[in-house]
Amino acid sequence: MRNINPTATQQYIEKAGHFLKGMQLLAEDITAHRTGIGLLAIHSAISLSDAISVGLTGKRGKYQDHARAAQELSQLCTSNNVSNTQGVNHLAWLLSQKNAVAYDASRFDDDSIRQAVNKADRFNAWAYNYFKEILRAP
Amino acid sequence: MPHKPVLNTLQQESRAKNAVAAFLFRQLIVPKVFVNAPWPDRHRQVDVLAVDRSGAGEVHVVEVKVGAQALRSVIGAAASLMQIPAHFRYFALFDNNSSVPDEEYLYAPDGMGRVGIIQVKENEAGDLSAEFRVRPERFPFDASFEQVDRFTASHSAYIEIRP
Repeated sequence: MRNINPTATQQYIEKAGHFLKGMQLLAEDITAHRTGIGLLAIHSAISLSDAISVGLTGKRGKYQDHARAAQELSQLCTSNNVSNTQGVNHLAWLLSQKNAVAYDASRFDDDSIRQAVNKADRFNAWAYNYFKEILRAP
Repeated sequence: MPHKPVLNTLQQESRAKNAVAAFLFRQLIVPKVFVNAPWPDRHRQVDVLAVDRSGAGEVHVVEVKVGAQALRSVIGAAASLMQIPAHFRYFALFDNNSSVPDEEYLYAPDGMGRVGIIQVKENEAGDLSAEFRVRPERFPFDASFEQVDRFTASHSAYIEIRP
């Protein structure tokens, strides 16, 4: 793997880190911050996925439908011989919750929030393990 | 608050390592955290070592000092800590004393890097917590990421997020 746009990659990594740390801080009080936690979890994963895309292809996807980000990440796994695609599943799950978290009238329950935090943490761990050459700072 | 008298120094040191490992795990982004880590080789042991971003990020090393002589022992150990390859270096003091070492012992000779100080405290219930007394400044990394990758691939992390 070779990073063709390390500067943009690091910018997306920085965003992803900010979202993730914000999520972790707010997660200390789910009741007070539930929607914020969910949204930060989702955006952390989107930004880190963008970091991988921009590093490998030079551009990030501009989707109306964010679910396509998971499809593109899956394709990048295939083309870069990454056989462990657990992270794609984590990202797909988080993206599937975006409407429920941000736009629907219903409340995201405590279990779903905990699951979103867990998925975001695990997506980060997966990305840094399997796309290390792309995400490591130059 | 005196330390629990039933615990010996080795036990207290292990408790402090545990608290520091948990503290770094919270401070960093999905890090892999190791205790009693043979780093950079088997001839040297680091009390707590954390590699940020699940092994892809910066290396943090901590030397834990326990008891009434903790602060004083930093002076003798500072030069040795500077020899360990890491982006960030720390002493963790578990002495229930709020003093910090003179800053002259914390800075790199060329000024590029400052050793951080982590204070480990025990409350009345016997619970440990950790906090920064001195925030670290980044050192130049005098090892290779290949060395880091070999280490993380061959040692089990004490705390990590599984993908």
